[in-house]
Amino acid sequence: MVVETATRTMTYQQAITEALRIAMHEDPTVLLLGEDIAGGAMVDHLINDDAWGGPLGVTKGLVQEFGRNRILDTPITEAGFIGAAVGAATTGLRPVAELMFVDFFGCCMDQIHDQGAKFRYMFGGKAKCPVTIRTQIGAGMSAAGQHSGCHYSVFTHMPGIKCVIPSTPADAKGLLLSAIRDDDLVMFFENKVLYGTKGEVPEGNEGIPLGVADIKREGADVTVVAISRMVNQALAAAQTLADEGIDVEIVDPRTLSPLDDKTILTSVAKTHRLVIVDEDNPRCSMATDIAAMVADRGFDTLDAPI
Amino acid sequence: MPTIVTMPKWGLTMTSGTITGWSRAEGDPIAEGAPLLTVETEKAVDDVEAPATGILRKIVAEIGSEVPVMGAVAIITAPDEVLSDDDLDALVSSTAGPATSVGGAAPRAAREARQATRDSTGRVNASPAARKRAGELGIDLATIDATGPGGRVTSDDVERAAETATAAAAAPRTETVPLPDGTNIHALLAGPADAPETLIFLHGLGGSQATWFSVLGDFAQTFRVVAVDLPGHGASDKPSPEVFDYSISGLAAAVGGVIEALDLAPSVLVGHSLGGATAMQLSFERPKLVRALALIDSAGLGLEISGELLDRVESEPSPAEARQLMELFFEDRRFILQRGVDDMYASRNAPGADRAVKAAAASAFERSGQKLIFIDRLGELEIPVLLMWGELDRVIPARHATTAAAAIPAAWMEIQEGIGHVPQVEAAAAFSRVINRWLASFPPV
Repeated sequence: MVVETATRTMTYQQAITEALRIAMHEDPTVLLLGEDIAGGAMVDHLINDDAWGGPLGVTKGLVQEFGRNRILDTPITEAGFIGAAVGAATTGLRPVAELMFVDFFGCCMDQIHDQGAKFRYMFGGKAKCPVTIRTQIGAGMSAAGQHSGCHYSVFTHMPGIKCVIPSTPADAKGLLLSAIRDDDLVMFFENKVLYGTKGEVPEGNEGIPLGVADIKREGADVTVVAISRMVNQALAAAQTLADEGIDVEIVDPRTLSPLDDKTILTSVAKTHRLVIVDEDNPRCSMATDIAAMVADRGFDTLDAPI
Repeated sequence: MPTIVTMPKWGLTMTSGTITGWSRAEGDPIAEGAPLLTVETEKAVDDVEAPATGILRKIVAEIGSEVPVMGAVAIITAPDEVLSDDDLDALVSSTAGPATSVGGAAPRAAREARQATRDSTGRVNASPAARKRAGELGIDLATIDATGPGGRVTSDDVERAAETATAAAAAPRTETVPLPDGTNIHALLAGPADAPETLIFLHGLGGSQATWFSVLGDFAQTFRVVAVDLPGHGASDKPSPEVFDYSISGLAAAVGGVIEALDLAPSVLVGHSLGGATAMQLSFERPKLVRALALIDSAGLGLEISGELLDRVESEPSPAEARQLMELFFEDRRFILQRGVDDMYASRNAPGADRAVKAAAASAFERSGQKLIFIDRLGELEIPVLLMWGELDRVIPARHATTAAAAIPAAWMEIQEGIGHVPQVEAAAAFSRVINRWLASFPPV
């Protein structure tokens, strides 16, 4: 059922801030922690000044609203504050940690994949770990070799981690609300190049369910599965191809774990052709995983190599 | 919304028609179903009815012009609808070609089809989807032209090949069927071979399968249709009456032979005039071959038969006689074309035709009336029976339909008002409508 909801135009970044604000209002156990997400931690003249609000200002304004007890500036120590977030989640809080750039995951991978991802399974469902880790991905901002990776495919390899990757402001808001409300460890990948892109975002606190893909453009001739910023690239390419008479369907998975394979298979069954556009490193990636899944379960629907 | 009036397709072979008259002028109001123009084809002339109510806004094709089937001939608009000349031109040109642009994409140039490539073992280069679909449809991949890169057969190629094969199977073709006694029977076949129903059309005395010209195309869209030339008629053999039995029983045996040879049983028989009596005879003698009967201005249902018909048949063939016969058959004189008269005369003059027709007539009719009347046996007919008659038939009167309908358990009667002996020509559209409605009234095989 389609419910008409009022919308406003806002940026991807504003949509994320709005989702954080809604989550913190509706649940007092939600807290944020990360490097420079409020002001300079422990620097006297910056306390309460909200000097940073995160490196790109995503959390700007929240510290005045919710206070230092719920917006925690941490030292530059991923192993420490990600570990703290995972631990706090098991004690009943609902932390949202910010891993400034995904490239830093090496410093805190044990806390994520060997602790947070496994608690629920190791304790037979008696423990849960409702932590969300927001992190920036993507090249294109001249942020150099250590701030430009994607690496989401690494997290899709690990069981127990949900991987969410919005491409539009509306998806960013709805998916982040669902991620925070989810009782499992969720990696939430924000593309830094998309922060300034604008779109219509619904009012209210409605979440978008995890694991449901979105068809960003309907078409008959070829299916393009595009992830994160590649959705916009694919939409532009589809416009060019339409002039040449090729009608492109664009599927945005929105969540990589769990993956909505049904929507992808249904689309390929219609178009008989599949192209996957993925910014992550090519070997053992989401692109190769989706290609293998369709080759396995949609073989008889294909008219061309993937 | 404006409605484009297009050239209709009558019959299987019509490709164009010539406009012989307009019954309205530009600017006149017109009601849906009212006659709008008259069109003449190689074989028929008939009114084209207005497809919508409104104002005849533009006549695209003047009297005398020849227009291809589906080509625009006029535009009807709502009374208050405003259209510029450019709009009208655009509408007309929109009928010139097939619709393009699906899903908002511009039309794409089709890749040239070529023979599919194969590897060294002879395996055809085909996509997985093409391989699966070809298996489902039972089509050999090697016979399919490829449009994929590098000569790969795609699933679209398979669908296209299947459509072509279906169209080829459904395309009209003629067949010569040898009967056990050596007589060759000519038949026109059309329509899909896997159709739910087979309709066999039997013409009347002195006629041929051409009498069904205007209606076969309609039925061939849905049904398998077989229009037979009876022995001694049309393009079938015309053996001497000394060696061939031209009685209704003999004709019925020949039709039974065709049904068996072409494996058509059980069929719906559509018989006109003497062909109706032939169809009834066959359903009494060999009920397993016949699953329903459509009797059109049929013989065999009452005593009366036109004395003038017998006069014409008994006389020597001549163009004048042929014209008089046409005048006896048709109420609407527009159907009496010189071409039709010439065709009738030519067919009577074919070697062996005249003696065959005379023998068939002498066997079925005499001056005192029809010899073979099934009225007492009609109660035995347990199959669906349609009785269709031209109200003003001067060859066999329409009241025969009423008596027969009372005697047949599952009868459906339709009288065509203002029509003569040959409704399949004079009221082709109504004829098709009635037959289709009747066919839909009983369960398929």
